[in-house]
Amino acid sequence: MNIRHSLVVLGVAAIALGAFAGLASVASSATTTNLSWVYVGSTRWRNYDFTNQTDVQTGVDWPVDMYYYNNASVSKIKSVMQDFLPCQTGNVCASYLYMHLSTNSGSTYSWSTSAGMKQSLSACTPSTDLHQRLYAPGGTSFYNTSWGHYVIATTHFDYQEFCHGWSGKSETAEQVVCTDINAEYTRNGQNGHCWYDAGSNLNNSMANKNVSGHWWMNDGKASVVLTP
Amino acid sequence: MSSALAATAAASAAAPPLLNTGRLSLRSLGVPQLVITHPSRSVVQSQALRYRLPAGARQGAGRWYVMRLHFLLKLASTSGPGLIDISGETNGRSSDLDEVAVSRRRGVLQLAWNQVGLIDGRREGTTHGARLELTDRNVMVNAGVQPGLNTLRFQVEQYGKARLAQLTIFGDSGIIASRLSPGVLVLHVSAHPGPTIAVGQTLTVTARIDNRGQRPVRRVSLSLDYPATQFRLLSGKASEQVAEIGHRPYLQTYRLKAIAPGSTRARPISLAVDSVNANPGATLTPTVVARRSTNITLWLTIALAGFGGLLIAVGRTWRHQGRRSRVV
Repeated sequence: MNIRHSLVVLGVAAIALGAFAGLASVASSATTTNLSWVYVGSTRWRNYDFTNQTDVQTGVDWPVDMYYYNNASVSKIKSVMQDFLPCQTGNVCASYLYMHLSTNSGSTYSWSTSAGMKQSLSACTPSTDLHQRLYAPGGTSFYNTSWGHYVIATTHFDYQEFCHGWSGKSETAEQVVCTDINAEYTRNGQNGHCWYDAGSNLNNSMANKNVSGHWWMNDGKASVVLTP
Repeated sequence: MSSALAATAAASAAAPPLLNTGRLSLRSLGVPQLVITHPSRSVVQSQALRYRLPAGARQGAGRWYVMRLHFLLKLASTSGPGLIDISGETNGRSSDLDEVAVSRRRGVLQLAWNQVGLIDGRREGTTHGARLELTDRNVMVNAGVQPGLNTLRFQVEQYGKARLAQLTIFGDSGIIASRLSPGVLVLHVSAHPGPTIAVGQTLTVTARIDNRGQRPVRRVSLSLDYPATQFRLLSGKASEQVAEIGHRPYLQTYRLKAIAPGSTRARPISLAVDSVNANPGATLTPTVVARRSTNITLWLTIALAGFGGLLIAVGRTWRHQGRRSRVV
């Protein structure tokens, strides 16, 4: 009886784990009418990330709302933000999303992939989870003589993400990351700084609206981080 | 404790040297090398080394300023996984950035490094052990170049459990004033026959990549994408890495056989060039029509049949005429 009971418990646990893993690896797409290219020197990237490697306005996830420039790389920003956004690997933290990097004719040369960095290990935390994804070619950095080594980012909150909650409110999330990174640079005595909404208009503003758990909120103006 | 990079020789207190042409190395600034041992902080910067640039100096105005960073790092035997970044900046703006991801496999340290720049492209590699020596050179950022007084500084960062035992920045590191502009790639694509081809025909696509800059472009990837339901690639690599494109243009020819009719507007034939310097691309949207050769065969058959019929008729006439003449 005890063995049978244990097996039942194990079976239920396995099913629950499997379902969770399945959920954790899936991201539902959203639709925007603002999908466009952003040109920076010889590089060109989309102003939204995508749930898979298909460049369509019905397959987007979140608007690009930050860029780290000067001396930035994906690994470095993740390391700097380790204290604030410690969940950086594995399906439990985040599913992978994609950024389309294109030639000047629109042909694809690369899809950059990112699971990003998240606040909590728990997908059903009672509070909001801050989540940022970073993109650059080869997962390292872009380079040009205007911005130096730079990476781009999308930012949002997850609230009870896989427990009938919502994801989004990018604008507020962007502001919080900006505050966090300024605190980190101050603590380390570094001259890095995030200027909230001080960057280019990326033409991806989205009115404050919850569309079936995908909560749009973005003013289109990117925040800029001078990475020391 | 050395929490700041310490010069092994003091820099000259005289007026900062002027870089007009050529190279200004640490050695010529009076610093044989910079050494740091066991940094206790996660971010450590060197002393600022001062130099001057001529009036009107800016990136691209007859001179291209390049930063060279040559270093040797040794990890502590106790080092765990993490990240080490070594970078060089002028006037607070970084130009060289070298990243080293540290991991341990079966007790052995593994160092995966990468650097991204406009001279050598995107370089990466992996070594085993605690030592890594690298040279990086990059066309400097615009904001890192100004007339008059400039400052050069190096920085090391360690994150996670990565622990540095010693970092040496060699005396040949520094700034170079070059006349050579960075490479810029331009892609030209031609295709024949024209925009409409028939099933069974071969479309020949020629890609020519020209470098409009004076320095070569290194580590270039060239890729071809095509609708596999409509074309089959007969020759040419769909994806290839080109080590360097210099003054001579790079040529590649693809032969694609049309295998099914239809428009390619939804998924065109596209060529993409990827390099740190430039990402030119091109798309082609040929229309594939039903097999033209079927019609040609039909018309050829009709023509041959007609010609054969004509020959038979003429032969009969000749025979008839021959018979008639014998009768006569």
